[in-house]
Amino acid sequence: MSIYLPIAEMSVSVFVLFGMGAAVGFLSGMFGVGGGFLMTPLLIFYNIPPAIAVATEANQIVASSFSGALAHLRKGTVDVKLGMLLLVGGITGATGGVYIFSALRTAGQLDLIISILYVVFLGSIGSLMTIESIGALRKVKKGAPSDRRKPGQHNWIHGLPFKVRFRKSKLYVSAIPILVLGVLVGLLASIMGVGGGFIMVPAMIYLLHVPTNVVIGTSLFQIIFVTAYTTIIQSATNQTVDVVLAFILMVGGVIGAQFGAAAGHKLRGEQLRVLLGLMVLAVCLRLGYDLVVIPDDLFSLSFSNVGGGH
Amino acid sequence: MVVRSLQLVLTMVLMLCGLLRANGETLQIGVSVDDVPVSSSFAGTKIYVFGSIEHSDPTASALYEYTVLVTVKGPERDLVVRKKEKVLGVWINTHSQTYAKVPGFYTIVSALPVEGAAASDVLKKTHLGVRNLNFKLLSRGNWPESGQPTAEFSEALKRIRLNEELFTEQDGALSFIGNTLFRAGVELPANVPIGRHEVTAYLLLRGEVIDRKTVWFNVQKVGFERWIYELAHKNGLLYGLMAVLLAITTGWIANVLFRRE
Repeated sequence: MSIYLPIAEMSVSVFVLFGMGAAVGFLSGMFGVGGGFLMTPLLIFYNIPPAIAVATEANQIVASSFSGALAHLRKGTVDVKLGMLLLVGGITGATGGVYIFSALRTAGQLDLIISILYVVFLGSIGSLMTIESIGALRKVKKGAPSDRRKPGQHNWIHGLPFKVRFRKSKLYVSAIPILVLGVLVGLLASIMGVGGGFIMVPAMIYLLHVPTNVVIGTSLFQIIFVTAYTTIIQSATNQTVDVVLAFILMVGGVIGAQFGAAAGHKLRGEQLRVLLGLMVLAVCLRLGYDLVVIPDDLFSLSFSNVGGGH
Repeated sequence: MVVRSLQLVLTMVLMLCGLLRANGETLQIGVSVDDVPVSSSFAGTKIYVFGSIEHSDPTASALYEYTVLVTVKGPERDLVVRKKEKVLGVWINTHSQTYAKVPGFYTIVSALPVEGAAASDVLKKTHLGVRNLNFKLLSRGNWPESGQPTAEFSEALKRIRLNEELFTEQDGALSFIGNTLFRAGVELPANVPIGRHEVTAYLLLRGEVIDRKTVWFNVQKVGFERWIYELAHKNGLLYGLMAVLLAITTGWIANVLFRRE
């Protein structure tokens, strides 16, 4: 059954899109990640124009992060104050990102930059994750306990000024790194169509020393608002959000996530991370391959007044 | 006497003219639809262009000297053609050229291949057939030198449009019913652009265009798709808010449905 996407202006198969949403949802449920960094490349592989894939994916992430954040809010594992401060940076970053997005699109370099950013981010995160988790697996085999971070460790981040107290996280740290992190994630959300959890979660744990129990909830909390904001701004400036596409992906995604979460309980953490790391590397290689291999057609067409409507 | 011979000469001249220039044939055409609705299940459609040759010369008809060509042109927009080049191992869009008013859709429908309908200079002059379409170069983009050939860019434009089936030549899709009535079946692909399409029928006698008629039809989104599209383009902010609301609702429903406690 095919469906016409009103904004992408193309006919696509509902089942393929639903399947993609469900598959990525399954993985995100299993690994506890957002899935945007897998979904956007998949949409591009399926010939959805990158500009539409990125903006639409931001819309989908609103749904998945809201669903996830509700559970954390109920459990009380969200540091709202920290989330708000991240959000200030996030909104700033997303605004700049949408502006950069429009400029790149006019210059005809948007698709290239999206691909390069994905290759860089997926490549580095995929390798780190794979190496680290293989190391952890070896340790577990030898019978040594897996590493636990010792509380009370301090790094240069904690020497910065403008300190703010976060009661929930039992933290007293400078606002600067939080705002910078927020800006970075906002940029990624608007240019790459990702929630940014894969940057934010490790940064919060290793750099800010936020307790692990509030990290995911707080990250999801701020992702809701940054992606919602990105969706609105992309709609207003670039008209690249396709709600029909987003809705199919959302429904597939939330259903897949349920089964993924159930499957995730049966696998061990380290094994999961090896799998995810390898998968991230595979997507990275595929995107990288497309960048360096000679294209089927050296020429491409686009309307000259992009974003201007009629 | 003088008057009579003058009359005779005049009649002969008129007859000669008749042989060369026929007797004022005109085309009448119509389209089977005024509007082509594009809904969520739209997967392309076929429309018919009907017509007749009025005041046709029976002799010319009998000798199959009339040819009818029908073109359909979609809404025109400026188009950028970009070329990739390898820079530091990566394929990057480097040069571009912008063409003015390129139709979003173009098809020519004929009984026999278009090339046979008239001499190539006539087809070229009348811009009949994909290879004879000319687009005005609007800007040279960032092309380094002024003297570079632009042919590869316009060739690429046509090649890509042909691959996308947005430029087509439909040989054999036009047929005559009797000597003066004709019918052309025009295939509109699933990706046919939204907007006003111009249908022009050309009447050719012995390879010369002697008349042309133009009618129009609209391709438009209907119902939900139309509403979405118009909202997105006319009030992006409201559209974005709606998209977020939809996402929040979906996320909330999912959370309620799958809550396990």
